[in-house]
Amino acid sequence: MIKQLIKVNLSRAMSSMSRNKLSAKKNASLAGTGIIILMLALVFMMLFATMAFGLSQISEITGVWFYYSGGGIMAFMLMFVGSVFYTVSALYDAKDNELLLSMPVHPAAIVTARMMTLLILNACYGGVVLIPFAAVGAASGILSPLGGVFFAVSSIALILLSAAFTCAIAWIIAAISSRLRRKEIVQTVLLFLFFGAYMVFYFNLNNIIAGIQANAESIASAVMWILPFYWFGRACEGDILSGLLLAAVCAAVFAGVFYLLQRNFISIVTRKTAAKKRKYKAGEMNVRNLRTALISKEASHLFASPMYMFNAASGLVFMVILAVFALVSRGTLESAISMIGLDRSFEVLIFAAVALFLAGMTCISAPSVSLEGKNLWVIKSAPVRARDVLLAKAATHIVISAPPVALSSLLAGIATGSAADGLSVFVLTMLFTALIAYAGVAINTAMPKFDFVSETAVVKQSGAVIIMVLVGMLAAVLLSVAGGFLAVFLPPLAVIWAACGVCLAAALLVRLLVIKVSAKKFDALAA
Amino acid sequence: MLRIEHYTKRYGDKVAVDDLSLHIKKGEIYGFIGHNGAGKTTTLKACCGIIKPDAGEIYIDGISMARDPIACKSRLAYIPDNPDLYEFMTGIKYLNFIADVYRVSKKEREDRIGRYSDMLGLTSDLAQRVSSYSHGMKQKLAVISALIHDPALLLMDEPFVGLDPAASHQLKQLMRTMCDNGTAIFFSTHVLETAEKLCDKVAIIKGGKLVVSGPMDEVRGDASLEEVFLELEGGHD
Repeated sequence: MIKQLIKVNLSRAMSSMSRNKLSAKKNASLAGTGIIILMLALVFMMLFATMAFGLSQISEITGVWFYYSGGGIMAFMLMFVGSVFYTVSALYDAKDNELLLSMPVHPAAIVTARMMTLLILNACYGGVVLIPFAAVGAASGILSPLGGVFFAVSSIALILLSAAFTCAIAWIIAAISSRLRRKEIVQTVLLFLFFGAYMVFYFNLNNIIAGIQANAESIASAVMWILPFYWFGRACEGDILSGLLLAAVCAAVFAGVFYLLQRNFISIVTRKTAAKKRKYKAGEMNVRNLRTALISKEASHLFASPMYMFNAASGLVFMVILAVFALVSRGTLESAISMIGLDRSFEVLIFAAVALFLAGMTCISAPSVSLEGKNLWVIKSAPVRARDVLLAKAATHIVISAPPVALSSLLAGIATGSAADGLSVFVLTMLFTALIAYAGVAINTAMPKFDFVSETAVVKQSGAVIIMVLVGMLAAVLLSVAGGFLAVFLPPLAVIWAACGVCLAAALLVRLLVIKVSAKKFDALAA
Repeated sequence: MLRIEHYTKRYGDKVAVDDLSLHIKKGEIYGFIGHNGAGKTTTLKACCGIIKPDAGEIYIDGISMARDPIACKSRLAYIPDNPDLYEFMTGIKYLNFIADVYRVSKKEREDRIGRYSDMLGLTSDLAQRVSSYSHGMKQKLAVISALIHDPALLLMDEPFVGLDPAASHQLKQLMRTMCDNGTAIFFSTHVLETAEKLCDKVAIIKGGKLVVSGPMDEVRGDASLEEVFLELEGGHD
C-alpha cells in the first residue's frame, strides 16, 4: 500500500511537468522539463560553490568543521524555505486526504508516502547546496574519502531533520491559517518574509563571510551551540561520535514528528476552520463588462493563492525592492559604472536589464489555463469566446504587473535624475511584460494540466511554468546583451526605444498567435 | 428548443454515444435516464458546447452549436453533476461573475439572486467562500447561477443529488413554473420516481444508444418507469 501511495505522489509530481497523460510526446516533454530543471539546479550549484570557496578560505582559522557546518546551515535553510509551503498544501491540505482516509489505508501509510515525497524534495534542495560543498571540499583537500562517506551519511541525517522541522512548522502555519478568514494574506506575507530573509543572506554573503573572518573564533564558538550543525561539521571531519550523535538525534526527531503526525493525522486534516462567518448583506451589486469580469476573476484567483502569488509574482516584488536599493545606493552604482569607463547615462540600461530579467521571471499567465482545473466547465459552458478568456488571462498578468513596474521605473528615474529614463524603462518593461503574458497563455494552452490535486503542483512544477520562466529570463538576457552591443553605436535611450520596438512587434505577434491558434486549442479542450 | 441530430461521440475505441437524436420543445421537462456510463453526461456536455461531437449536430433554438456556440450558450444554462465552482470566490461574487458573463442587468440580478437564494436557503452563506461550502450548498449555488439569467433551456446533470428535501422540493416546483413560462428543461437523473412525477417526456439511453423516448405515459404504459427501465436494461449488469 505504501509503495502505491508513494507511486501516486511521485507520478502526480512528474505528470505535472509533462504535457498530457494521453500524449505520445509525454516522455519527451518530461525529459525536456527535467533537463531545464537540471540546468537551473546547475546554475544555483555554481553560486553555492562560490560560497563554499569563500568559507573554505577561513577553515584554517575556524576549523574544517565550520566549513561543513556553514554548508549544513545553508542547506537546511534552503530545504526549509523551499518546501514548507509545499508541505502545507501537499501534506495537510491535499484534496485527496479525506478520500484516502475513507479507504482501508492506515494514516501511517498516507503520512509515509507524503513524507517520502517531502524527503525527495528536500534531498533535491539540499543537494543544490551540499554537492558543491562536497566538491569544493574535495578540491581544496579538506574532504577525505572517509570524510566523504561521513558527509553523505550526515547529509541524509540533515535531510531527515529538515523534513521533521518543515513538517512541524508547516503544521503550525496550517493550524493558524485555518483560523484566519484571509489566510492567504498571512501565508503570502510569510512566504515572502522567508524567501526575503534567505535572499538577504544570499546577497550579503560576502559581507557575512568578511564578518565571519573578522570574528571567526567567536562565531565558531556560537555555532558550536547549534548542536546538530556542529555535529554535522564534526562528522564530516571524520568524528564518528559526532556522526552517531547527529544520526541518532535526527532520526529520533524525525521519528517523533512522524509518530505524532500519523497518530493525529485524521484530526489534523479534518480540522474545520473556526474563522468567524461573514454576514451577508444584500446590497447594490456592481455590473461589470465581460472583460472586466474575466480579469477580476483571474486576479481573485491569484490573490487567493499564496503559492500562486509567491511563485508567479515574486519577480515584481523584487523589482520594487531592487529599485529602492538602487535609489538608496545610487552613489555606489555611479562609481561602479564610471570604473568600467562608461558614462553615467548607461545607468538606465542597467535598470532596464534588471527590470526585464525580473519581468521575465514573472509567470502569472503561464499556469492560468491549467488552474481552471475542474472549473473549466464554467467558462466552457458560458457564452464567452475562447479568445476573450485567454486575452483576459494575459491582461491580468499585465494589469497586476503595471503598478510595481511603474513604481520601480519611477524610482529608476529618480535615481538617474531623468524622467525620460524612468518613462523609457516603464514602457520597455511593460511591453516585455505583455510579450511574456501572451507567451505564457500560448504555452499553457499548448501544455495544459487539469488533473492536479494541489494547485502548488501547477504553479511550481508544471512544464508550462518552468519553460516560461526560462524563456522569459533568456529573452531578457538576449535583449540586454543585444542592447549592450547597440549601446556602442547609439545613445542609451535610443537603445531602449529600439528594444521597445522589438518587444512591441513580438508582443503583437504572440497576441495574434493566441487569438488564432491558442483560442482553437482552448476550444478543443474537454472539460 | 433543443434538437440533437445523430449525435455521436467516441473516446478512442469506445463509442460513448451512438447516433442519438432527440427533440426537446419549449415548455417541456424532458428526463434522461440510463445506467452509469450510458452516455448521459456526454450528451448533456455536448448540448452545452463543452465537448464537440464526432458526428451529428446540436441546435439550440434553431441555431447550430457548431456554427454559433456563443449564441447557443447565451440561451442555455448547465448544472453539472459535480458542481466544481470557483472556490476562491464567495458565493455572491460567483453569482455576480456569472451575471456579468451573461450580461444580466443590475435590477434583474438583485431580484433573482435575492429570490432564489431565499428559496433555496443559501442567503446567509453567500458571503462565505465557496471552499467552505458543503456539496449541497455548492449544488444550490450552481442552481442559482443557472437561473440568474433566466435561460430558455436548462440542462441539468442529476440536479437533485446533495440537495436537502426542502431545496429539492423547491427546485421541482421551480422547474414546473419555468416550463409553464416556456423554458425547456433537459435533465438526467437516477431517481426514477422524480422523473415519473416531473417529466413530460423521457428518454432512456443504454450503452450510448437511445432505447426509447417519448411522452411519459406512452413510455411507461401501465407499468412504472422503474419497471420499464429495469426491463430495458435487462442483462446490463
